Amino acid sequence: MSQVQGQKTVVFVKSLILYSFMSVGAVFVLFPFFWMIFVAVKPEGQAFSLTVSFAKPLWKNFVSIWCDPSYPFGRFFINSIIVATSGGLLTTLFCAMGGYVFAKKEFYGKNILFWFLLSTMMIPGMMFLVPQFAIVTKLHWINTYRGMVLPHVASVFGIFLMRQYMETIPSSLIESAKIDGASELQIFGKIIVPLSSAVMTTLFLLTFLFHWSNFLWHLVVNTPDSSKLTIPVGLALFRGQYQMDWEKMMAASCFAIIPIVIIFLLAQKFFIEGLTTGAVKE
Amino acid sequence: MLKSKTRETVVAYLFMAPFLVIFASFLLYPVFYSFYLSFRTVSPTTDMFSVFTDMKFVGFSNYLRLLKDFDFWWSLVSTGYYAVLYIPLSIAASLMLAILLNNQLKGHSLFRSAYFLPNVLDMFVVGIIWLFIYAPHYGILDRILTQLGITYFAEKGVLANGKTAMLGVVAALVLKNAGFGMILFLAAIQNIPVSVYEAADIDGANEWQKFKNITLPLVVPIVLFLLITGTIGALNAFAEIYAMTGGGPQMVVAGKTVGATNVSGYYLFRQFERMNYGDAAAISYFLLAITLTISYMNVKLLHRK
Amino acid sequence: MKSWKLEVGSWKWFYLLPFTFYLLPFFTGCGKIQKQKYEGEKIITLWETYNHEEHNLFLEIVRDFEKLHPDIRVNVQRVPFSGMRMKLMTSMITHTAPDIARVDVAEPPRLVISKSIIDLTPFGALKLAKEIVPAAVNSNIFEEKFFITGSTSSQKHIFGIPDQTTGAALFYNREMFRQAAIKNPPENWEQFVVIAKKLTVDTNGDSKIDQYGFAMDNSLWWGFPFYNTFGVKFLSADGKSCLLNSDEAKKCLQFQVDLYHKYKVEAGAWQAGSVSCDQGFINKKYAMIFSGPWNVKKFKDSKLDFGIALIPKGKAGTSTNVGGTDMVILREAKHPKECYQFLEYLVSVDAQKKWCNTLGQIPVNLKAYPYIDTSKNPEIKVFMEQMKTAIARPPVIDYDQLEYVMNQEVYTARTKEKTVEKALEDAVKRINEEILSY
Repeated sequence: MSQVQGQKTVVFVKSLILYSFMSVGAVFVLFPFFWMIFVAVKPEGQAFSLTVSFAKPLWKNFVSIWCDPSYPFGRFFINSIIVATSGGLLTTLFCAMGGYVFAKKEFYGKNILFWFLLSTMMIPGMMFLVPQFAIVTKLHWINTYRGMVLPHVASVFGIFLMRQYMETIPSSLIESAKIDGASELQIFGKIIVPLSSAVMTTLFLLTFLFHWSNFLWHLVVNTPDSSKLTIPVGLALFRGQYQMDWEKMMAASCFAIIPIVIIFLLAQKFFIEGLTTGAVKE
Repeated sequence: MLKSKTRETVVAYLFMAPFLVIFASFLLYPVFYSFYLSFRTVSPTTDMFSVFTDMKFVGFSNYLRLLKDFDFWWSLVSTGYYAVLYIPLSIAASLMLAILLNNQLKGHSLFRSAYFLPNVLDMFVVGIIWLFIYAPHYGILDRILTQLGITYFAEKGVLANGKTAMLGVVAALVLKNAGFGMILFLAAIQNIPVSVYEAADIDGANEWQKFKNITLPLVVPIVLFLLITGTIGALNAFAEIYAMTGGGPQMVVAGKTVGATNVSGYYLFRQFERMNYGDAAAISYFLLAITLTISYMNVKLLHRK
Repeated sequence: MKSWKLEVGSWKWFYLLPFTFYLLPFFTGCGKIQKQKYEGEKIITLWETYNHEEHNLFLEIVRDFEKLHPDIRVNVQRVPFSGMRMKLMTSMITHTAPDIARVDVAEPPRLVISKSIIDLTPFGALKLAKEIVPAAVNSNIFEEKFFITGSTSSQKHIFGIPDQTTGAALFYNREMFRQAAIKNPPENWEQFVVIAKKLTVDTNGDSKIDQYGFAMDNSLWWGFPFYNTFGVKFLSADGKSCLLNSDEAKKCLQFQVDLYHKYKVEAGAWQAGSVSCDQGFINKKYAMIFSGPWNVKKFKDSKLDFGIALIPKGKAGTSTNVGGTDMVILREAKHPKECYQFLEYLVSVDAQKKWCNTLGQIPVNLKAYPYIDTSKNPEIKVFMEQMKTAIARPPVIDYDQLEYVMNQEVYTARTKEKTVEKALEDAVKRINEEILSY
């Protein structure tokens, strides 16, 4: 009886220690968000003054960015969601397919192709800006969703990430499936994808984040009167020549972060699921 | 056997087709075009309405000029310093966080989200906050330290001090990015079935042995990934510098004035901003050669283990 | 075949997300951007980088202009300030550039030399230029030999019209002045040092200075008030060599360095990562700073008791730097004459009255000065006075690089890693090599 109680105490103490570590770290790490909200509820121009003052009403900045006619935040928001979601989905799919063959198949040109792809990842993105813009202009993809999303869908980073994970999938699984007569697509869809759901979700998240904050490209591919401008471009409108509208910018940033937080919280479920789907029937 | 490999090749390229189509359309041409540009140069009289066609051919002079440029070599040195600080710290931090959060305590999802969240923030916002913390006299860090009697940062703060500026930037960045690596490690660790650990327990292994023999080997691919992406990141880094120090503080090295945090990514950015496309292209390819060499060595090193 | 179907569960609904959001725009009437029908009208596209307030007022001014010129339509498009240069560059390459663009005053030299903007002299702009504040319009005027290779003519040509001009003045905290029993702001640099010393105090008795008399930014832009008042010339008359190793320049930089090291009245705000002048001023840590009209409202809203004065006089009197923007007409504009008509209207007294009185900004048109309602915006008076003696920045092709080099070398002088002489000599050498030789 006392042994069980003793074990329970040990577990309890362990949890307590863990909780305290995690909480301290979490406060530290969440500090920027508290600061953002703090600034967003301040009256105009007071972002950096140490006096604690509040806008009247408190949510004035939040409301004004949604209702200002010269600042269609609602549209920016929707455009960002469309661009980021489609970008995330397409990239995850394409890179999963590509990463799988690099991880599990032997084929001609594999090494050379891989290192070539890797090299292109080592060239800073800004070098591609102007040539890609020229291509997109020729294709008449200016002011379109496809112009904003497609050029960045071939992410070498994604293929590399997928490859590293899929390498750890036991080849025996694939062999057995082949013996059972499964086709390539079936192997991919029924074995590889479920086992990689965790990393695919991660890639989706990261790609989503990338497209969500891709300021320079969205700015360049859209004309200033485009109906498809996204949040980062919108946020930049708060930065004037000499000063910045910090309070409104922080309010807008708060809104901009919400979808990501939601998606991430939802995606957390996959890590739990990843744990159970990782179980291999040997 | 050959037939099998050929078949594999066909299948492989079919799977890669969507990716390769986009890649070939949007990435291949810019890559080769940038290379072509590195042999040309922009002058102030270059027609901005047709910059690329109006650039003059200059052969290797962009590259040669780079080799003679003290600023450029210094940027490589400071990038190396940056990489040596940032990469090990961030990998260690991510791994530690992953181990810390690899539990089933109530609310663990929330904690994991919390640690990932800084990654989501705009570098600009993060930069401002750290400027607050690092400022001299009135910054939070200095205030805390002077209470404890340490006045090292009172006059200059962290970012105006040539010795600590880079450390300051790296620390801010590690805290921001640790969540990303943590997720990758978590995904890898959680892919290891519990049964394996249980079997080890039955065999009488202790915590360290379990870590060394089960966790660590399966985490190596991620470490390699983070190493390579970290190296690439270090050589292209510029947003954090832009947000926090603008390349400064200025110091005098070998009689020349250089910025303590002027890394190669920032150096490249400045060339690009000034429309020196030829120089920017030359720098990119130079950096590419370096990154490729380092990455190749990393791979060889970790595969030998 | 063994059952490989594993629990993939809820991630399928991810696919539904994009569909819902794709449908939303159709329901929320996203076509709010007006698509008007232009018939037989001359359409001018204009890119501007104003903030919200300015943008809305600008649209009004455009409407006023269109009423006067029914055959011209101005299509105003808003670009974020930080992205303007990139957008302009990429649009020029793809021949989708606007007709008129609002650019920073440092941009025209390069645009002129690369023949990207139109010479406005044939439209009679030089006559118009005489009515504009010299500091503002001079950044748009170039001699023939500057942009025509092989020419030796000093014939002046004008390439842009300023739409906004601004400069720095001396802001001081009146409360701190009262506490130190100082009646008036300093009129010259000697008085400045004396006053600043009185204002650099330990306010809470912990034997640490927590209030500084002055704070300055390192960048060249903020250094111009010093250089101009000391009579420092940056470039030779032919623009080919840098004159920063002159005696005046050395005296000037030494003075700036002394403020921190010798007189100890400067807060070290020039250092990387320090509390900026604006922030410190608002939070009552700095008694005097240089700042511009854009901060007036902010300071007022934080209930700061402050005053504005002219930059203290040096050997060359009082002066300040010039910031602001110019409107230029791009080379591929289809209706250059109509574009010029709009620019003419923009600087007209009527438009200037409306603009400056509503926003509290300095007019670019000298003729509009008498109409400015200084009772509504009293601070404007000082700035308007200051702009009369302001000196425009040296016209160089790559102003950014000039600033970069200067900021670097000046920084090392401030930290005493280099002497003032050496820093300036090195700066001159680099500027001559990197920027002036092309």
